[in-house]
Amino acid sequence: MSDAKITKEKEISRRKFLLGAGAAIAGVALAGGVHNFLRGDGSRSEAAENAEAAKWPVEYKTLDPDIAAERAYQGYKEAG
Amino acid sequence: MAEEVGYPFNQLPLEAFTSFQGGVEGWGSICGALIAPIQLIGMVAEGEDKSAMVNELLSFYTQHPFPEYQTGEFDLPRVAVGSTLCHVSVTRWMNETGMGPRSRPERKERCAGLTADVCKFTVQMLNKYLEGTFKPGEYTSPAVAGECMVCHGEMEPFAHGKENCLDCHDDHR
Repeated sequence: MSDAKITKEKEISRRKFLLGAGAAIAGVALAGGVHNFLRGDGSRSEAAENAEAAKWPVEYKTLDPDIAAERAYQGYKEAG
Repeated sequence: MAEEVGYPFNQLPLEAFTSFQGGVEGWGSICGALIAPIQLIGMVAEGEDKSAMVNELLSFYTQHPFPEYQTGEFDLPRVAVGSTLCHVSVTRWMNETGMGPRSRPERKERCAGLTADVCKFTVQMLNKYLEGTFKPGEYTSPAVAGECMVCHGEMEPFAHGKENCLDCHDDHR
């Protein structure tokens, strides 16, 4: 597979995830009644209808706690 | 998780979490070390398990003497801070150890170690959850919070929360 195709597929996956996140945020807004207040008619936007929700809950795999701690420490030191 | 599971963890920009430093851009609100672990729990668990693990994590934070993780560069005193608020956490640690002000390298090292401790606890807890051996209740929120909320959850002065109320309010009993 070419690098260009891999990059394109990564972009598409990222877009799908962001759309999923957008749908989740829209869901929160709906739960809070914000969406209805803003739109008045209670209908969902076309973007929300077409967004693909991210799979949830996401798979978890066993991690090494000590390696996780070391990475968290380093992450803080680099960005904190 | 990006390496072990891949998508969607490999799509999360780490830069999205940098505003949580200093209790959200220095506001002294919730400790920034808790945000990503809470989000991770919320991504992989649901329902009562999710709530139980988040409660366990926050209770652990209030009781664990930080920092346990230390590289040896400093010999930092460990202090249990009694609150999930950055303001209380950092302030109490600095005042009890004398290692202030906030700009001091020891303070930064303490928060880096704390971040490691919080991450390690979260991973240990999620590993148990995956194995089906997680049992909530090793750490619990301060009992005083529940006692206060019995009345002030429904009567004036109204209140809300699970932190130790007596950190900021008088005990009028």
